[in-house]
Amino acid sequence: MEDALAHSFHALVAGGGVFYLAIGAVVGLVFGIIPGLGGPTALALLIPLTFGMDTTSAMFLAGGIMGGVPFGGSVTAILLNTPGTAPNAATVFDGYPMTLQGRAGAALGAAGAASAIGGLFGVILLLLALPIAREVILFFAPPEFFMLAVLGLSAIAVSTEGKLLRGLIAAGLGLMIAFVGYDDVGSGTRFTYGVDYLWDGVPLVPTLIGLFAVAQIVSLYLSGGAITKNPEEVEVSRVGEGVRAVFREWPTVLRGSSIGAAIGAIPGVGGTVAAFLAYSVTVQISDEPETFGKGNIKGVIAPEASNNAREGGALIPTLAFGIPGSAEMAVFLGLLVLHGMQPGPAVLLNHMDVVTSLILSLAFASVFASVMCLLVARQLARITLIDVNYLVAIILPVALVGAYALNSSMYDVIVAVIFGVIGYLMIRFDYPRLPLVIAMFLGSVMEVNFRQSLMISRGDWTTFFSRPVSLILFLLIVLSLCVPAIRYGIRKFREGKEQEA
Amino acid sequence: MELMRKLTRAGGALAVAVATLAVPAAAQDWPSGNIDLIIPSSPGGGFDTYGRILGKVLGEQLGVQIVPKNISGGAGMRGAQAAYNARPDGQTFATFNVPGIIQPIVLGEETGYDIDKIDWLGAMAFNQYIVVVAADSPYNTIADLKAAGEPVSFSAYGSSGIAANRILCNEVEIECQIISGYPGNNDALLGVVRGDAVASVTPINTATAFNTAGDLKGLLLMTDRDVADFPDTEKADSAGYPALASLGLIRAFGLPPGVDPEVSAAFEAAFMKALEAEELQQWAADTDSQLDPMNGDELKALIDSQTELLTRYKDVLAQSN
Amino acid sequence: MTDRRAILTSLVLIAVSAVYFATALQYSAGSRAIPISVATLTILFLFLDILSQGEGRVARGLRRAFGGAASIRPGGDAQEQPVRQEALALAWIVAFTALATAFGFYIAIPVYVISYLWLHAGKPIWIAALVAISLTGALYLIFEVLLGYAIFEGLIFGGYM
Repeated sequence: MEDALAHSFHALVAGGGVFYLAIGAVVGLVFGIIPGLGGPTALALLIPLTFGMDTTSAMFLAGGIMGGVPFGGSVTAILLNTPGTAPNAATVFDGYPMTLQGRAGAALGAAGAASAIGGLFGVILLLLALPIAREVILFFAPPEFFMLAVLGLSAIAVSTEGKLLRGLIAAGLGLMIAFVGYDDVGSGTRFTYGVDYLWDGVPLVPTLIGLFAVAQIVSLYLSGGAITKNPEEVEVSRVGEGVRAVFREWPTVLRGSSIGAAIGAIPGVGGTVAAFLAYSVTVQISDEPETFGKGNIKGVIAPEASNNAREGGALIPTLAFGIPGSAEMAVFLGLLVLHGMQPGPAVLLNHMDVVTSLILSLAFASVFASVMCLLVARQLARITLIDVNYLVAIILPVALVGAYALNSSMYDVIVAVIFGVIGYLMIRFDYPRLPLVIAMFLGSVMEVNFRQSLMISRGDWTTFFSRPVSLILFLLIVLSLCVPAIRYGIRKFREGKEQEA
Repeated sequence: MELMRKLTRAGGALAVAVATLAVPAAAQDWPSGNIDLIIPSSPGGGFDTYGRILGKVLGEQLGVQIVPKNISGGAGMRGAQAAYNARPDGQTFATFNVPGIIQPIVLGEETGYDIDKIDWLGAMAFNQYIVVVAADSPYNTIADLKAAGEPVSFSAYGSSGIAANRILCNEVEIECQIISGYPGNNDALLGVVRGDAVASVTPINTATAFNTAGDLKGLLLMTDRDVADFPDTEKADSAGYPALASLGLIRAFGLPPGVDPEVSAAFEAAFMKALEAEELQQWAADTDSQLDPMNGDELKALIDSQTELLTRYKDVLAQSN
Repeated sequence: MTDRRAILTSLVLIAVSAVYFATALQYSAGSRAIPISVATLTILFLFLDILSQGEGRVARGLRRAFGGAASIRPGGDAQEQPVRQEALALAWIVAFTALATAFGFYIAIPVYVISYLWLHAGKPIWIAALVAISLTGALYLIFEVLLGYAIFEGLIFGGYM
């Protein structure tokens, strides 16, 4: 292990690794910023370029991309209320309100610093977990995946402060959309109403682009002016304020990173839910939950730390079993195979130098991408001061090209536009959009694993409660749903006492 | 939605109209500029990897750029539809997901393409299946599984996987319960290791790659070839189930119907030559990727025998799980 | 927003969910169980939403239970926008999409950017043209040159949707 680390360090410094890392991080940032394009697309399109490269350099390039994308995605989430990639959706909760208050610099600073620290944390966890990865992964079977999906869905309860009923309705509609298309368990298609396109279901990324980017374009068109109404408040020094906040709020960073790395490591659930969970846990244990969604900086720190930590975690099942923990990892698997590494328990024995290069490059890329972005954060924040007409003119084409590029399908673009209308109507009629997105992410994971669990147990319902990990997850769900009620009770009790006094 | 379909049809019709207007390309002019390669899956998967490496080698040999276009969806159907309706001028070819594109036809669904009219160039690989159980399973042969005396559970991924598992169970006459819904072949195999299911029918190369630590045990190779990683496993022929050897995933390549026969012949020759290229062989060896070069006629015969097998079991395939 | 509009929205969504519910009934037991449960719950929540509008005791109680305070009424703070403006905003988006579908992105983008900035926003035409050329050029550079990735060329030019 030490040999491998030394070898990788050498390759990084002397072998041109820094160069590939930097290119990867820049590409990752750009792809993260453009809605629709994310890590999977960036990796997939760069794979052919690595044909002639040695494996270590290819790992530095890939690591750079995976480190750069999450922060790139947070930039648009914060500045434009539009998550650049799916996992950044949780960042808009508090990131955009901060922008509206003229604190875009602080939000970007916090996101950057949280990304860097989260990325490092994920890598450390990856190193620690590698020896026991196999055993941990075998603990998770369909009943556990089902419980994890439900835990993710319970995040809806906290993401809809004051509008729980509307949140539940939006979530119900999201689940209904998630079930459209090919039925993975039963074979055959559902709810396609004679439209071939729907066989593969309603695609997630175009939906996201529609609900956020396109709907945001309509809002900007109607509002006019600039995003930040009082320009004098966008100050340079605020970037530093955001960075300092990350160090001040280190428990939030640690919590977000742990959740990200742990959830990322579990195959089948995907990393997207990690950011939501990191956010919802932060809100739940906060002393002042009512400040979230209104520009609380912790609401930016938690999901961003989780996002970068997730990549480290997601590498565990990818390397140990060839089972991708996220969409990026699915493509990354292809890259590994291309370079002659068959993922599986043996890769950890036979290719340790490559694995450590990758780990190192992930760590450096997180830091590198963040530092680079912090340097340009001041310029980025100025976006919020320019005439929105320019934004409307530029974002619409970029977002719709992004919707097209994912699958080379114009139908995806049409879906994005349709969901743009739906998204705007949701703003207009006061329905929260994020529960719909969370439900779409998790709907099929929840349903498939529920049905699989019952097939495996031959119809025995107790399978969800008789397995230790599944039971623990169930108790966590109950706890997370009860916390708001308990908190409400305590507050009432205190208020009552104060009145008596 | 109806409008979209009409638009597509109009687009298709327009493309055909433009194509008919164009002067038919003669073989000596081929290739005239960049060639599009339609890949029926998202970037990063097996079909994409095979397609891109072939595109690179073929492009270098022809001195033109081969531009991969990923058109994914519907188990390869969307890509097949796009390829089928492409301009037949020899400047567009496609990789096809077989049996993904056969299955809906066998089940009598509307597909928008006719397999018999596709102008097959050949295939890069034919990935057959293997029946595996966990290494510590009490079952050692397919006969043991048959004699189990109770329904045997099989883990499966995707419609092709469910079909392969069902066909095995019917051909061997095992009473089986299929646990479907896994997001990938490796996940289905992990399900076997974890104990979700007793066995799984999975592509041989997937099983080989997964089995680096010896978690799996082969029961039946659904092929007649030798497989180095499963040397003692019974083969389809000797076990008495020869028909099972025609089942498998084919990395097939073809042209849209209507390409000038001379252009098509030149394309097929170039395709076969690319498969012999050293770079491609090296890639296959480095990455443990299977390579079974097949010309257009061989591919056509294989597709026919596979279609026959699937048709024989169409009632079984139509069952919902 | 008036209560009547909120109720109308809920009724539309109930109708959509009911169609979904009816469709689900055709599927096999395993395939329909969860969709039916979800549709039923959604319809239930939509009825509760209708009941929570207005100023009656039930409505206030429901709002307190689901929102923490009876005074917060969903839809209460939504901004009113002139419908004409909203329709215009959507028209620009639809027009761009139609243009891209017919003629491809590389024609649609400059046409849209120039006409939007020049005709709608009243910017000088040379600025509009500059933005259009830079944006189209940047996208062309990223996709065609750096990535070798073809983006939609338009139905007219033989593109497949």
